[in-house]
Amino acid sequence: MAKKVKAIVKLQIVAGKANPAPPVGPALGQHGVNIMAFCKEYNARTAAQAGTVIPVEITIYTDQSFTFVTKTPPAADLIKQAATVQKGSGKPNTEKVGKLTRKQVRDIAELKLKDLNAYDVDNAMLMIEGSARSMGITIVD
Amino acid sequence: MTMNWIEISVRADGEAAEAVSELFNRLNSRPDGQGGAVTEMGGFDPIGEDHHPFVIVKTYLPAGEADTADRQRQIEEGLWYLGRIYPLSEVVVQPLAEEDWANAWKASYHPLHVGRRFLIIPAWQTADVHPGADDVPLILDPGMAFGTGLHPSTQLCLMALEDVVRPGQRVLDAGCGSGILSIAAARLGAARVDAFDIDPIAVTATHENAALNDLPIPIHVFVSAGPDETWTRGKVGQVSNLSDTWDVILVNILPHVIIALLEAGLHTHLAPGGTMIFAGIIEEREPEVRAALAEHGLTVIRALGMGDWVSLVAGAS
Repeated sequence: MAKKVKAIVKLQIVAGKANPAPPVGPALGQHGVNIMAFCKEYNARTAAQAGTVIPVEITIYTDQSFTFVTKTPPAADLIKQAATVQKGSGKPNTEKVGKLTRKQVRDIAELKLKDLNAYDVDNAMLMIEGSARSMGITIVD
Repeated sequence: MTMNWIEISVRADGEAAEAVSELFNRLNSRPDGQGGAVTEMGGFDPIGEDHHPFVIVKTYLPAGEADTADRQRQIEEGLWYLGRIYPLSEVVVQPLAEEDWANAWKASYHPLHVGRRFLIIPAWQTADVHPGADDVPLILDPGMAFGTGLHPSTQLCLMALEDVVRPGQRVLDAGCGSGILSIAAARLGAARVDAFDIDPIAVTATHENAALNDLPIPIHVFVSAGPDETWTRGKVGQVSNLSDTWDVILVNILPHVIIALLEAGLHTHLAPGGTMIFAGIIEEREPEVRAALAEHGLTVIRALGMGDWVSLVAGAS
């Protein structure tokens, strides 16, 4: 018999840096999950990407056991990293804070493809370009 | 010291949940990018299939910090605006103490047999559990330190220990966590057990757990990051007559820490004919650890696996 799902929890944790402080502790502890076991497992799986924010989706079962899958980093983080800017523009229509080449957009789109509702890379590129523009980052050829 | 937190949560769905997450991530992420929003889907009916899924988006603020009130106000203001566009539930703001969530998992932590003879007993259940004559009891209150005995890597280490440790040996537990492996080694008849951890919480936990077990020998435990200058300070400051070599060295940490400890020369403290037990290795990184072992002149004698986790037992070539 399949195990019964109690809750699905999504949060963002820096790769290799999960610890029992909030948000991880209360988000999982309230459901009776063994927090340290989760931290150890998350850190083991993400150690190679240390420093990047990796969203994680944790399925908690009624017997308090859990499984989790890691997702690709948020598009906004990848865009900021590629454009080497600290944060997006507050007024993206008038104040531009950085530039991305089409090649960089394609790289991000390829990485994010499995988590986007996109049919193909070209479609995903349009989404990434949109996100970039809404952060005040222009796309150049 | 117990830290208190403020939990802000709101029930939303679909698109609204996305917008609230984005708000929390923007206003309440730590500088390293962590924190922000926690999205929780609940309402699954555990008995039937009559699901009424809902989404709650939460964020946590540290109580009593300089900018907490200000940030809380910004968040509530942001939620008010979002509430004009999307249907959101009332915003719930509640204080949260660490003990509210840190111990909740204890309810599902029960006595557990591991390997051939170990019986792990939660410290708060000792009155109700009566180990059999062949059981080797390990009494444990892991608290916030790692090593509840439930994790495959801890179980693999216990199984390896059972086969490796012989009475009279000296054992070193690198990265001792709750102290579970040190206690097991002492129970198996080790003549001396030394243990260290980089985390002071773990060192305290090991002390406390050792005391719970009424062991035949003391466990010498100190804060250290490994065999370098901090290690020496540990020796001088906290442990007298620390061994220089051990017959068994246990390393149940993570692949990159195992590799760093080997580079720092941990294996040079292995007595002739001694054995090292490595664990905390996720399957996909096993080749990396094996390469490091080979590079430092260690030969893998045995590999144990459970789920996605691997433990390697090795000796000097």
